[in-house]
Amino acid sequence: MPEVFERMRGLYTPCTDIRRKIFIGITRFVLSGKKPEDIDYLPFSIIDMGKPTYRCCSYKELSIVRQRVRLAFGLPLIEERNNTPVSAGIGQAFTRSKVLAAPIVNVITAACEKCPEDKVIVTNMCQTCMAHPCSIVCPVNAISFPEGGQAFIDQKKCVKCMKCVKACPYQSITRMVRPCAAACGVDAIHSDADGYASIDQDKCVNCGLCTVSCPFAAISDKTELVQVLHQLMGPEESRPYALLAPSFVGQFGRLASPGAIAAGLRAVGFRGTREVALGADCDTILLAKRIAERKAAAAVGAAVAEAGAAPAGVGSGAGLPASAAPKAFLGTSCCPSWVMTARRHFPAFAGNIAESFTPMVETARLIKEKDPDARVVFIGPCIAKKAEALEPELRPFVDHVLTFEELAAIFVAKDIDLAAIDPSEFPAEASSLGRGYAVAGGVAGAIAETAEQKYGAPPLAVAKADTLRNCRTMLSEIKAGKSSPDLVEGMACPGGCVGGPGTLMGLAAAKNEVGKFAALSAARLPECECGGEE
Amino acid sequence: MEPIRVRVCVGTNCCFAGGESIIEALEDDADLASFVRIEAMRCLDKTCAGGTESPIVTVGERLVKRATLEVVMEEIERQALPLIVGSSGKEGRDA
Repeated sequence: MPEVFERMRGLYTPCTDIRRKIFIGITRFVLSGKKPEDIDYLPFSIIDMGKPTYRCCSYKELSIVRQRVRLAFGLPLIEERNNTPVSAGIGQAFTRSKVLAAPIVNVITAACEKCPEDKVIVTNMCQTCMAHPCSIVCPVNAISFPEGGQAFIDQKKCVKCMKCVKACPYQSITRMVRPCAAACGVDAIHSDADGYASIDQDKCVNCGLCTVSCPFAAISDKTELVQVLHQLMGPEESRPYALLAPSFVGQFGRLASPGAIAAGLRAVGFRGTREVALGADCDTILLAKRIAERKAAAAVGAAVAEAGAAPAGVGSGAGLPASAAPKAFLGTSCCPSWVMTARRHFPAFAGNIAESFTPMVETARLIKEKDPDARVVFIGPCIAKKAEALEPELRPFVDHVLTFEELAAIFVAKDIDLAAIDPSEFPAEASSLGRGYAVAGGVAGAIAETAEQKYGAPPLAVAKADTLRNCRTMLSEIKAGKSSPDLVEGMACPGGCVGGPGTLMGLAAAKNEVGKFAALSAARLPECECGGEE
Repeated sequence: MEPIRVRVCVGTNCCFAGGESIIEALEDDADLASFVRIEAMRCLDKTCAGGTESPIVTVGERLVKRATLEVVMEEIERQALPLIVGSSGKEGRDA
């Protein structure tokens, strides 16, 4: 059975529909220069009052759309019980400055259907059979047949061992896990006292997979759409640069080439476009150098130890330098959700994760070093980057973060057709390996290949995992000594960044497009202006 | 037998309104390959009317506005059934 976030992927569902309609509606509203207080009328242009489209009644739809509008403006949810208008304090969002604040990922209580958290239940398929293996295998005697009818599981006793599920000849017993919680790789979602989903913000790492997994669209992230629009409407010299994450290729339709996307960005008001694969190149060089140096030091240490220990016999293992110990791996740093998860759940490994800036920040730095007044908008598949850009030490580099979906809403609202636009030149600045960062395995692959080819490292042992649950399993195995890699790559999203919650295209097609674009680079191995200086 | 020509608009409006999902789903459906030819097309003279009619799909001669995967598949089945049953006498697909 595929992971919960894979089951709806690529389908255009009513959840996708309402999200995109709101983005387009808000963009048109802001571009038309309407007054902030008029926002109270916007939900009525999205919801067909009296004709429920998405849910049981249009009043409920209205109430939810109001909350989604708040989040899209980058503002906190409104209190549902005291009739606060959408427009309350909304004027502050009509700015080019940052208004976004934590928490990024929010539960819209009105939309939450209070799914049971995790429950093994008997469905109507139960035939009340004579064999009833379910109750025979149950180790806690939780299954009974009230009044001789269908099987019934006493939830107070059930330990979710799944034995009855496997034993039932009719497959009538199933385990239902709340989709948001199933999608969460860090166990941050529980029920509140009333049964609504609730996010523990101390545990949440902002990967955003719950936002695309809830079948009732009850979890949503905040956006910086309105503030970016204000930047785009400003005077030419203060307009922002667009930084395109490596997964951008093909996201806006198969006829929208990278050059067409760059032309479209220009047409909606961006000053220019740079690919974040450039910053990825900086990171590759930095980490490749470091790991090559470590391996060289370890080789020297091992040779010394061997020479010294050889007469005393083999297999003592004593005298090995610390750098050759099994847990001395180097962890990649480009996925903020992975970095937070690794540091929080495996504090002993905190020092193993590279401290380097992410490719987003490296690329922003390249721009701001040349033009300190430049403004920079990162555009990617990622919700965690929204949180990353809130960190005080990174704020000077990245002004705002948009997802591909939010940018596409701007194209649509401005009636820009990337399939028909005259494409501009897309410079072949970044290496093939840098462009490959978007796909799981691409980061570690780039670092290992660069370390071996450019810095003379021996073949490296690489471990990699995508989705946070798999990342945690990988680290547990390293901790238990089951594997001892040199280099560890973690990615929060399935398949890597191309599987991120802010993407528009299916996973297989997106991987393919990234591969084709990487092949167009002038160089396979990275070059970097800073030469890997920290 | 001439395959049914299905054209899906992948202009930005139509893609964003679900056109991309429709074409990806059709291409991934191996059962369709033998009797449907799937093509991506540019906007037909702004038939999508600034997005209000997006996504646009044509199935054979029929123009489908505000297309959904359900409606497109239904139309393909409707046009394909007589072709498949009539051409070789093989069993028809489940309608």
